[in-house]
Amino acid sequence: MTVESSSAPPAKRIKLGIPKAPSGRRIIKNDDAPIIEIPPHPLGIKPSGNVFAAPYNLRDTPSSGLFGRLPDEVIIEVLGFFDVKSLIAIGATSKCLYAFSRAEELWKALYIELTNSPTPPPTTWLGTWRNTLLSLPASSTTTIQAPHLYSDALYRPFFCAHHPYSPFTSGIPKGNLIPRYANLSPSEFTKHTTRPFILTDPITSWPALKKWTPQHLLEKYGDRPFIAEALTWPFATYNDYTLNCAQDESPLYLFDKTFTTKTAMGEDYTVPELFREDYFTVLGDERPDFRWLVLGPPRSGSTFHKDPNATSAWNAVVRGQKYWIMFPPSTPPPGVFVSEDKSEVTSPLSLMEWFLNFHAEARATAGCLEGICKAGEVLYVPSGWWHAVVNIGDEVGIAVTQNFVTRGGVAETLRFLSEEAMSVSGFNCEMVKDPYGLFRERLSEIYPEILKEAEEALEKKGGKWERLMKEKEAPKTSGGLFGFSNFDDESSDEENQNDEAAEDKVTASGKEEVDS
Amino acid sequence: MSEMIKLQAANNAPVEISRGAAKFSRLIRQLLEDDEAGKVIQINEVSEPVLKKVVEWCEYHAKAFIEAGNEEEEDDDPSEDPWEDRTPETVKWSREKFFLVDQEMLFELILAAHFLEIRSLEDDGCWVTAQMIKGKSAEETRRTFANANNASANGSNGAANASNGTNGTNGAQANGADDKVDEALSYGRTEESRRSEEGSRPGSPATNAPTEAEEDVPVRSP
Repeated sequence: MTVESSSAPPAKRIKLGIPKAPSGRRIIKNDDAPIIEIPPHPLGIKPSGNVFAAPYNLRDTPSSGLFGRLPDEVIIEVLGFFDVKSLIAIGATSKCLYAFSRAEELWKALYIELTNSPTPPPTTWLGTWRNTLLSLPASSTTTIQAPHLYSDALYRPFFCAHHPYSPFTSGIPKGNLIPRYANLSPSEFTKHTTRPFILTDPITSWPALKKWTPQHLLEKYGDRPFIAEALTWPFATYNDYTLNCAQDESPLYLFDKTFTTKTAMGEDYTVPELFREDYFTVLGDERPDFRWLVLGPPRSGSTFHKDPNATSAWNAVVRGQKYWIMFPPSTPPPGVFVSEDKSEVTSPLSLMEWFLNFHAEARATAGCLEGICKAGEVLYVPSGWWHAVVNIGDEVGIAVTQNFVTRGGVAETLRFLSEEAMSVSGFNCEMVKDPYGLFRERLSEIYPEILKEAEEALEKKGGKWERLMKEKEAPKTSGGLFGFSNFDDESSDEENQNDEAAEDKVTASGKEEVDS
Repeated sequence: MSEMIKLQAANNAPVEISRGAAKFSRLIRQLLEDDEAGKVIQINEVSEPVLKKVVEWCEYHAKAFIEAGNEEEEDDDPSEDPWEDRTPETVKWSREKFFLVDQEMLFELILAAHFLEIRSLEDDGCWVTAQMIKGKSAEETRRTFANANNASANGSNGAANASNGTNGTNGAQANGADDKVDEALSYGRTEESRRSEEGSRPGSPATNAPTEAEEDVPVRSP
């Protein structure tokens, strides 16, 4: 298994016979899989577990000063309140604190904080958040070694940043594969709206497939600002980032909902015919955010979430490849916990942490679907389905995604807008004070039969609906790319459960490994 | 809620806390989930004086929570913090009045908050600690926080160690503070060379590659 800090006795770790490569690389042996090599930490920091065989831990020496009383993660928390100058200064007091002051998460947070200040940071990407913020070229970066510092809080993000995804994204069991079709007719789709699938034909003639390359975007839109999570950067800066972001545990992901207004890219693609029936169109300009340009380096991705407002989505890969892992609405994935009132979704902080800790269990859980969507293919995400995505392969991934409301999904969206008003997102709050009221009103004007059908379905369910799950909770996570955190895991579940029974999911023991 | 929960500090001294205040600790919240009436919660990690201070903080917050117009919920989710957006006055009290304590108590409170999982208390403690250090020079910080100072050996090893294979210590520095990193370098090496003389480890700590030397060490019992 992977080298993880744990309370495993030292003897066990050494008996694994972890070979020592001359380069000092840490090698992990897994019987079923190829050997994984993690390079040494640039400052020589090691995982906490290794301390058992070591003569001492630097953080338990006077090198940490009074900070030695605090656990590693609390030290980092204190440092999180520092400004740039103070962080540099404290890094100069001792080797131990130097190592702590170098934690990239601190510099990334400072960078983001300064972005919204009167003194925004430089936008020339120099390989790490610290280098970029300080305008420090790699050649001037100190790397004072701290080989006797054993600290998971410092080592783990580095480990996660360098652990490959391939052991998780390969060998998908046959029973888990997301079905792949050339295309579906509207009537076939009606029978398939509550289960994910991949289509290989509909977007093959999109101009985007030929035009959208990082080079092209750089030439045309290098100066234009694009939204990448908490930052807005000129494309040129983001492009530089994608070419040199190996140190980032969770690579910054470009997710821009305004791309059609600031570029001509909207002309390079069309909504696949199958997905054009979209009942949020009744809202016209008042509809919530619904389309995004999605662009990111390999290893960028999204942690588990459900899409906003109980909408469905299609996600078309223009370049690169995406690995998807999905769960039905009523089956939160292992390692993901939903609070009782559904206002919080919590999971381990980074995508790789989730993969390291929970992927094996997830793969073996009934209901799990996995698949790789390649360039020229489009994936359908039914309303309410949990999903996590990673860009795999060697090239920057470029995709476009849109959210929409299917005919069958009108009921669920109505319910969501009315019962989970706190979690509704993407609407312009100034313009739309009552999303539920507006949606209902427009439906009654334009598609009264659909509204009637939806409300009848809701009435039937409402009376006998009971919550089946009580989830426990776990450490908090960030809000997610859409900026929402509220999900419903019910309602369309009845449909899903029937479908799932019909699918006859194979359990762990019955699964075969398949190269996908 | 007037119901009092019984806690016991490290020395078994009893400390009482109201249920509303107890909710600020995620650990206690979860323990209360499997509540049996009259149960005493043993908190061996926290000494009596510190625990009393923690209770003071929680009681203040429970009261301020109600005064701010919030309603205490009966069946609230133990996973959620009872009061995530505190009023500015409450934050000010916590950071500027409550934490007017000596350094020793400051760290004890942070550790207690960490153990009991009282998010805002831990945050405030860390914030206060940060304020004590911010704006100080490296030397002043060393004095305040007593990073071990083998002052005698500081300068002399500097030159020898700087050549010992850590890359990039020369070359243009972005700002003056990075010059002080040389000090840190020599400081750290001194510490390490001293220890390697004492210990039985083969291999020099000053080599460029991260030492794998410790993996050669025979397993010691923890």
